[in-house]
Amino acid sequence: MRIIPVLPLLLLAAGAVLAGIAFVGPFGNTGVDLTLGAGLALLGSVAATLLAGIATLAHPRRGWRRALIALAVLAALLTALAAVFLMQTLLAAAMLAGAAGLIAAPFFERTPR
Amino acid sequence: MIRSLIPAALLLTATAAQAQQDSWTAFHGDLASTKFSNARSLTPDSVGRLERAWDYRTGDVSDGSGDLAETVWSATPVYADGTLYLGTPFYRIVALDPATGEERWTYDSTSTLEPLTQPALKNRGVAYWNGGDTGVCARRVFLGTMDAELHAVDAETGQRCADFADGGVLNVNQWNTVNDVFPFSLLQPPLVVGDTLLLGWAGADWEYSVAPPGNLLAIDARSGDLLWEASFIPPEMIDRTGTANIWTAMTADPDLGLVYAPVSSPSPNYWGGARTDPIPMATSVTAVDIASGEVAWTFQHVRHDIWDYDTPSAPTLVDIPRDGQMIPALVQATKQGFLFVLDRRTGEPLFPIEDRPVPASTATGEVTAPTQPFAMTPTPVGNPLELPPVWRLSDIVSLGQCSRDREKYLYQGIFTPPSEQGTLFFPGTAGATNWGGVSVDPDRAILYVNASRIVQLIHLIPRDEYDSEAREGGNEEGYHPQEGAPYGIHLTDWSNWAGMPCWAPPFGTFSAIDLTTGQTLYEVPFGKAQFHGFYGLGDWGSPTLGGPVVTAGGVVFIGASMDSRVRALDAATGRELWSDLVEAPAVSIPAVFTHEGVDYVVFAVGGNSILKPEVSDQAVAYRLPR
Repeated sequence: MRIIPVLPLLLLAAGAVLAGIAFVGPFGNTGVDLTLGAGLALLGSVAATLLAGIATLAHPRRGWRRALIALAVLAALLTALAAVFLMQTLLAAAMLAGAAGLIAAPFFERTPR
Repeated sequence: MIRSLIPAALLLTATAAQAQQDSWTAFHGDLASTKFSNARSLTPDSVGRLERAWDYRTGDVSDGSGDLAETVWSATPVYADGTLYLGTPFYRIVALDPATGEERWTYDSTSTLEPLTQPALKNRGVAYWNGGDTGVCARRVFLGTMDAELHAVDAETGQRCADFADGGVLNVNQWNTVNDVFPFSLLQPPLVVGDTLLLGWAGADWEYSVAPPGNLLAIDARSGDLLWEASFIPPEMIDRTGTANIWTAMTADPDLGLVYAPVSSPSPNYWGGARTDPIPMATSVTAVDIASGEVAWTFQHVRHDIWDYDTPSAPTLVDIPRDGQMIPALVQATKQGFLFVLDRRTGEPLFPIEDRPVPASTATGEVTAPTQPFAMTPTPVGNPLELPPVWRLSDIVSLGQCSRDREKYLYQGIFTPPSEQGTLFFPGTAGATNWGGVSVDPDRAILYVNASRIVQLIHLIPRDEYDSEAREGGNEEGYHPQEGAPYGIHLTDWSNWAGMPCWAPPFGTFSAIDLTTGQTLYEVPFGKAQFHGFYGLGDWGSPTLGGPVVTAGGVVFIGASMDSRVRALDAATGRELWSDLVEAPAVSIPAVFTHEGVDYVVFAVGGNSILKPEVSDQAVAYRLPR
């Protein structure tokens, strides 16, 4: 498996973990634990990760793949926006980077000769 | 010989004064309620390096989801003679080592944990008394309870003081003999002046028309004997009204022999048709002679109060230069946002106060006062004379609901009476300022104050409709019966369907005011609002509960905001220098003191559902790295 297509997925998965930490607060008060906002961010990050995961790993047909990636990017961007207002900087960065990676990944894919 | 003794005596005096300034022996640090600390190591240059010294959990917390009511903990810790004392909302005392946060002892009053007068289990801390002797109970800590008991325990050991009242417990409710529809809840610790405990109480003035008449009790700190009682409701009116009590902290000037009592509003809070005769000491600051209990003077800052604009905080004493003299002054912060600056000897205003006409009521039986006092210097805090505009963001989210509300409901300026139609109420009942009051740097005569900007919506509901309407919501939904009045009320924040405020930010500010001139030095948005976890933008500010402390080093320490942060501000500019995330909004006033040569800042972090549904039992101390 090449790393470039998987990198955005790893970033989004990391974002989901960060969102989980923000929502549950296992290491102490996050300022947003158990709030609706953090719950939505968790939902958004998990959705973005799942959508990107299916698009990257399940090898759907091109049309489906594009649709899935578009939805994953949308979920990631909305989650990043939520994270900014939740003051979860790392989460926002992970989701933005993940979204950017999903958009950029096709440009780095080698086409068969 | 005499000459050689003088420097030693001066040194002794200076040392004693210094020790006093470096302690925090009362709710507001000192009897003058300046909330000023002599801590000089805490400067704008150093506070960025503050670190947690310790983090202590009392264990006394409830979010209201179980058998116990929610807790509201707004205690200011007391630091005296090398120990830190906390009162808790389960009516326990905890004595801690100020350097480590380790328990030295605890005391449990075993008081009932029922919210007999309040919607929550509340505590604002303890009082400390030093009798000047040695031995058992020579130094005492006093704790009040929801069910009207005052407990006296030995400051050294936490054991009850057997010589105080009935084995260390004084039943204050024995003096609750008129209209005793609720007990005298002792949520605010007494003010200790010499050997006298000055004690007010809290009630439920929004629930009843006829209620216990407000009073101030003076109690012997050694024996628990009642020394005197000052009453604030005219005797001929006690069958029609009540309260006008003192639920918040008080201030004293021992040199003048006066205690300054912030007297609250009469019952019921939002309809006064049965109490249209003057009640001169209701909603006032009233000076009472500490020795005799005689009223020296009174200044009523709301006439015929029907807004629950009760006096929410202790007045602050400061000497102000005027025509080459230092005038002993008093600053009374109010829910209206006015800062009344009075000569504390006489109650005479030191800045002009205007009597302005205010709207009349249309409610059955109501006769509003035709005018109210407006203190325009110093500039009122939180811009209370102008209803904030509709917040466009909230209006869009609600598809125009906020704009429609603005057209539909009554607003004719501050002091618009409650109405059946619905009245937009600004500042709301939590006030522009509340129990945090103000802090003052006495050397510079500069005042620091946080203010909220909350718009509320109040409806008077005719009695025959109230029961059916309120049954569905009850107290938690903002319904209050005002039993005995022709109206119950419904009171909520003015918000859209999503719970967003309908009024535009800022929701809270922080100001500095030069008391010599009355000019505002700055007023900046303070804190961050938080809705469903989402933080507001920096210039939105936050509603606040709790107050500031200013240090000699030029730093203001304050919690108070919705975002559960405690902060250090530059006193010169209001700029944030440092902050730390804590478990809930720190709705208290911090204690700042010097212990073994190290300056400490301690916050009690209790939360309050008025700000957001988050509670805690955390006490957290900060100091500079050693």
